[in-house]
Amino acid sequence: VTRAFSAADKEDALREVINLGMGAAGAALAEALGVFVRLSVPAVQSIDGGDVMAFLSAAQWGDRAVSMSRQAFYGGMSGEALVLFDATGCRQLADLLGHEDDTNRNLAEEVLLELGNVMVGACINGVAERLSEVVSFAPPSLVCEGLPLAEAFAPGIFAGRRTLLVCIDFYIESRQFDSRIAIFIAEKSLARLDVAVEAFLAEVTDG
Amino acid sequence: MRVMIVDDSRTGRMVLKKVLPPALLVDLVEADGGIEAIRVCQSENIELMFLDLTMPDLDGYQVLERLQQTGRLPPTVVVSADVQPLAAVRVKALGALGFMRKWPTRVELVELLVGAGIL
Repeated sequence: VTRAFSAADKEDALREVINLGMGAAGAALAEALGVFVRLSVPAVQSIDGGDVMAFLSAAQWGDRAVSMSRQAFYGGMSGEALVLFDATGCRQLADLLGHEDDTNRNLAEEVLLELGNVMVGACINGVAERLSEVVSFAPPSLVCEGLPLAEAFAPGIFAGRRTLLVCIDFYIESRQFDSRIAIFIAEKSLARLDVAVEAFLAEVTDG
Repeated sequence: MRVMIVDDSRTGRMVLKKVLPPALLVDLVEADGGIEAIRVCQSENIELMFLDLTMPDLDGYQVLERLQQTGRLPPTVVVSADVQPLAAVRVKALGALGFMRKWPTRVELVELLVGAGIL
């Protein structure tokens, strides 16, 4: 039986659960690249489609060229995750992975998709596990390479969608480049997510 | 023993309180960010601090750095969701006595504190 918790308590608990997932994603990135990664505090907001671009491009991402992958997840929690690397950083990825002599475009794409896949998997699985949910993943796909964020999406693509949007930045200190994960949790999942967060809170406050 | 838990998340502080041995709950203060943690350490005699890393005002690394510089760093266990191995190395270099992933069990926590001579 779940107890009633305030909206503020549930928001705090959800943010903390997301924080745990993002920690796992940061560790996955750090391990893949052999670097130290600094994590930002997750920004979490329930948002209308029309406001998505402003939220997504907040802080340093607005005027940057980015390379981006997207990946849908479904099951106990459904939605979509975007993984952004700034274009400068993207050029360093192959280098960090030991492919510095290979300028093959397909390789860059492969690296981006693979890293995105590892980060999204670590993060979403981390969140789902804490909330006792099981999720599956669609294969990742490339959204763009080296385009400003505003040009990466067709105009109005987010219109009419209400979503819980989560953003976190990963800063790769030794190379001075950033990565961002943005997770859109689908509106249809929010009621179930709310119940799962309540159950999580009941469990951690028990006794 | 005067103990402080530093975490911007109320949930994070709550869960940690649940796993702390009762003896460490007797004289407990909480701080919801790095700036508050530094203020408390400078004005009170904190004997053991549990510190989160990812916080919005000052992160845990900055808290360790600043308290070390001013000679006010209490024995500190970092408890973080940031589980990359280099995070543990880095906080120890900044003077923390231990690193634990969120959230440790009471047994793990006590083992670390006994090993460090705190309990």
